Amino acid sequence: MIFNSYIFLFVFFPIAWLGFWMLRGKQPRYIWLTLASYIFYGYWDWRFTALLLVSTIIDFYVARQIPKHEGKKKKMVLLISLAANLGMLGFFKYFNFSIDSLQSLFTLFQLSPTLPNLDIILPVGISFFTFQTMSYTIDVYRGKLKPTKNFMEFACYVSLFPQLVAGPIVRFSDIDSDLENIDQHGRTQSFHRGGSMFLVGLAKKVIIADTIAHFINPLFANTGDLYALTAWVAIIGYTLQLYFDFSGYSDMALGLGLLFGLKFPQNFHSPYKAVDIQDFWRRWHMSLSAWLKDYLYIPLGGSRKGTVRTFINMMLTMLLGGLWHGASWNFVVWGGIHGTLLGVTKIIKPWHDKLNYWFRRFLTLFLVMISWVFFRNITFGDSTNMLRAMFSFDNWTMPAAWNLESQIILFGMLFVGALIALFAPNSFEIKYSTKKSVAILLAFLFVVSLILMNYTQQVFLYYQF
Amino acid sequence: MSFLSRWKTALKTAEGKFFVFLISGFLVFSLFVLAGAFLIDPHEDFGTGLVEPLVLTNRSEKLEMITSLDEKPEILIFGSSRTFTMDPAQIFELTGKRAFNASVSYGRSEDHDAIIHYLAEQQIAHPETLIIGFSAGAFNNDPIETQLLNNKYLKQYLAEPPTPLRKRAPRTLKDKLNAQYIADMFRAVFFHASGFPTDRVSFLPNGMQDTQDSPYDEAKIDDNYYRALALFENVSEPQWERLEAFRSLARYSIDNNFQVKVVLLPMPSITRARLIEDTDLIAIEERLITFFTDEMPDNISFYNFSEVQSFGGSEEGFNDPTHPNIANTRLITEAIFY
Repeated sequence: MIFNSYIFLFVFFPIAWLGFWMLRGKQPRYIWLTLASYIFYGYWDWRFTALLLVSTIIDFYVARQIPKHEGKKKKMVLLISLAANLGMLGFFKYFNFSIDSLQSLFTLFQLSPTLPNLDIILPVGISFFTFQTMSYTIDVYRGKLKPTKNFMEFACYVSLFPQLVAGPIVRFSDIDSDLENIDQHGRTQSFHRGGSMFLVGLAKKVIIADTIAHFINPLFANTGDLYALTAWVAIIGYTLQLYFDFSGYSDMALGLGLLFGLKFPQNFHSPYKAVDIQDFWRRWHMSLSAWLKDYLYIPLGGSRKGTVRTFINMMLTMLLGGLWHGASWNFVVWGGIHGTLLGVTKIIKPWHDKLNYWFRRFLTLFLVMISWVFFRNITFGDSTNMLRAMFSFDNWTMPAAWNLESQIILFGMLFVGALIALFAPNSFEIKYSTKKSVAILLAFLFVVSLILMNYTQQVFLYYQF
Repeated sequence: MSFLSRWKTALKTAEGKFFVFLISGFLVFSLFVLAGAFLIDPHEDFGTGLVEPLVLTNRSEKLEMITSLDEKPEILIFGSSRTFTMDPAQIFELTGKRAFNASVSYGRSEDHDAIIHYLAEQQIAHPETLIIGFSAGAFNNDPIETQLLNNKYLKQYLAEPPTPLRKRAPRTLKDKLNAQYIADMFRAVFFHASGFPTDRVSFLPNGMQDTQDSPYDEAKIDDNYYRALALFENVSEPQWERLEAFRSLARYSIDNNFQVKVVLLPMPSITRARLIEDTDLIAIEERLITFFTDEMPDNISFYNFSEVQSFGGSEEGFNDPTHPNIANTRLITEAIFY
């Protein structure tokens, strides 16, 4: 089920929400929310709810066992959780990728063994919920968190439908006090903020991201036909589409969380206002950046073991971060580009910081945009086609398929999107008011979103990761 | 405190009032849009009739044209926009019989069945021969055209009575109330106020489209391939109901003693090759060929002109991937009466 669907907006959510607030007591609310989340997840393919359940059971019991052991035994218990989660992720997401890569390697050496290729469906959101549950057991292992004794509380945390399939990656410590107090009164004070954030997120996704996608998707389908204008429109469009799509989803997730009395962490902080690549990663998909930093970069040694190791750690983190996005080499290349840029930024930072503020912002955005070329195009051929077209500066005529009406809509949306992304306060910074006029404005946005949603309903880009 | 009393208290707070305005605002805006859709009715879904719809309304137009003819036609041409350019004057030259082109936009077998029933039963025309041109995509799973469902002359001749408007309206609104529909509402109002563009489809008194062939443009074939593809989306065989509608027409033709010439119309080879690759075109065509050659009575003759060579046509004789131009249509007409 996706947020921008009639079934979610008019059937699932109202029932889940009203039922939740009608119930009293912790346990009934945990059970209700868990049940709703399993229905939400199972609506796509009920078989994969088993994965969610297995992951929940393993991590709940592993976490309960960890404090009872010391030393190597404690580590072994943690390894059960890591092996289960990474095994699941590895099998469903990376098995065929590994086989294909191995096959290509063999072909390179003129060997031709036939390796098995399984017909595996990638479960939606697996990258998110496995990272989430791993953070729980690791935090318990590190003594940062006391494991919960309530299985339903934990099951509710793992399966929370607002952020189950596309984040933010919520750590147990982020919401344990909200979950503990799930039955308390006075948790409705953020309703208007939650409702407003949800509607703003829906508008970002449906009005801006999907409208832009409608025009640029055909351009990415035939990169060989691109020329300067279409290539630049495609990549600028994608830069905005990805931001409004993913941050729109995050806004909706945060808004839904608030409507159930749960405060999820911020996931975007105007990333295209970043002044360097380090700053970009502090603002883009913040919950993933923080996860990679805390559970990968720092355990690898972070910046504590000299300059060379710091660069290696940075690069490894970004390569794996890239691979997390998808089982494809283009994501690894994208991660590599960001790893390199982070390294270079670290070296030139003292000099770079003295440059003009607007120039630094422009440069950062430009580099991020170039990296999206590799993120969006699956094959290197497509990426090079696109880069070649972008920097040929040869042809700036409008494609025949874009009539005046299309041009007004496309360029109008790119302009509005750019203004919002580059200059406006982000949806987390906005002070949501309970004024009548704000409610009516949001109602209008909702109706416009519904009208557009019916025409260009598209799944969220980050569902595929 | 009970759940209801908690809600009553909550609604008095600033948060509560905010949600009351939000939901009320949503309902008011939605009703406003829905009322606009119903009143303007740009696709003639509800038959409101206050503003001239954007869609072609040639079902009524064609029927009124036949009714006003001084001499009743002996040959009628049925089909969709693909047969708009079949020329009754050419048929008169070839056969010496008066013909009328009664093709209607998106015409399918239920249209042909309803139109012939209406014309015969209202004693408007009693033709000797029907020519029916179609493409394999005309037997797809698209719902019956609302232009047919709402047509004041024809709806009573539908084999299945149409679902009442009150039942159809919610689904229609859900399906159609989108950005394109809203844009069409504005267009309809704009054209209503400023006049419709002059390049709309218009017809000569004999029912043929008033148009001329433009130079061949291969880009039009490529760029519009998606339109041809859309005809076969989720289709693996001809729709049973549409075959049944044709059977009804066939029975009527025997009862009323008229001949029927059925023509499977061509596509450019390049479109055909792509469709064979992307869809079940071959299977659909084979089923239709069996249907028209083995399952139809003797008064129905079938002409398979799905390939350009079959009637000596030209690869460049197309306006787009599914519409033969006038030159190719003339060759098809000649081949039928050869």
